[in-house]
Amino acid sequence: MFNTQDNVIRIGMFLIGLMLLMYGAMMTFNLEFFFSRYPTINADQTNSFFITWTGINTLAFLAGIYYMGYKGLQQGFFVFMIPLIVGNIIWIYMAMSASGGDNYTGMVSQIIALIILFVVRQRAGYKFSYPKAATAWGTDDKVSANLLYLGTLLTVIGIVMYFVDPSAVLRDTAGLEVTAQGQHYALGIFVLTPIAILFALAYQWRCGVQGVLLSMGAFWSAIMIAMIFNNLAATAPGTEPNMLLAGFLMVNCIINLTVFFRLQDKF
Amino acid sequence: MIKIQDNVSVTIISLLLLISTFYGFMFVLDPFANSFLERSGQEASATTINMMGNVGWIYLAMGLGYMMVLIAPAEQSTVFIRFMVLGSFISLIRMIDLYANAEGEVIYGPLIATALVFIGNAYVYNRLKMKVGVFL
Repeated sequence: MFNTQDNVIRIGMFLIGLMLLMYGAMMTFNLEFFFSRYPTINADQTNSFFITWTGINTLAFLAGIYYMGYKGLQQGFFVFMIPLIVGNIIWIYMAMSASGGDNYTGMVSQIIALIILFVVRQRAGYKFSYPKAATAWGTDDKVSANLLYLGTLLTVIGIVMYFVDPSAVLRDTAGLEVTAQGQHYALGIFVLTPIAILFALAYQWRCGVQGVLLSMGAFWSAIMIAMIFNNLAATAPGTEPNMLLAGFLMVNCIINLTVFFRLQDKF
Repeated sequence: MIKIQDNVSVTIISLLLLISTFYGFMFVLDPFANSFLERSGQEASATTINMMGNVGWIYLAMGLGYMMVLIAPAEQSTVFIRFMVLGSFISLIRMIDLYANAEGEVIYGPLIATALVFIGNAYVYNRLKMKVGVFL
């Protein structure tokens, strides 16, 4: 498993997978339990929307663990996950400072996951050098390469759009309200996660695409498309759905899936 | 990564995966299940939502099954696709019966979706040369 005989790596990755499974399943499928564990988080529709979204992201990270379980460790996973977890720790600290919550489970599990990732990365023998691939993105497929450039551009645009008007998504999406907690969730979803994605894209631009990252992207996209359609279908009659957000996500999903299907025979 | 060599089959299986995921999340997540019941003019009780959740998990498991079909050699997926052809055929017959006896305003989405799922499965089953007899 993980294409290694090192039990520390195997156990470490198993534990990270377990944490991702627990939080992914809880945030996506059992919000009542989540809210009962974090009483300072309001159980409103805005928070539910973003917590479910975070849960889906977490399940996509879990898909990366499963992928590497079969195919072996890949450096790109660490390039993505380490900035993401650092961002999460900062985000949780900010949230707890603002709300006065005293449930440290999420914070502690993130810190443990970060330590495990560093240990596994060290034992896997990855150096802090990133060898350049022969071509940008490590592929001769121009369509995929251009789509990856477009994806990078869209990720940057998404971050800039958040800073231009942080409450735009909350204001324009049917059923959501502009609340302090909702805006904090939006910060995590639209800034911190995309920053980690930019790290992963920059790494792949230099070193070549990685199967684990493309597979995580494809998995996330498949679920996200289903969620977009469900949200559009569930929007109350006479209410204008947030087509900008739906379109933005849909384009990202199409880019992810196109690149995945075009390059999947390489990994 | 994808072991099936036929691009048409890969496209159809991917669409089937998407449909399963769409219906799965619609039934599993309470807000979507509630709005589905409202649209179809039914009462949303705790029991109904719970039962819909059970069905939703079956759909999500089917989605995972399609994902496994994509990344495994075709001969290893024969029984799964055969089961899906038969299962979706039975569902389609039931749907036709329900719609034939329906009264008032009718939404044809689920009937069309079920028919498309059956056709998709049967087409993939044929294209990947999984058929062992005349019908199945």
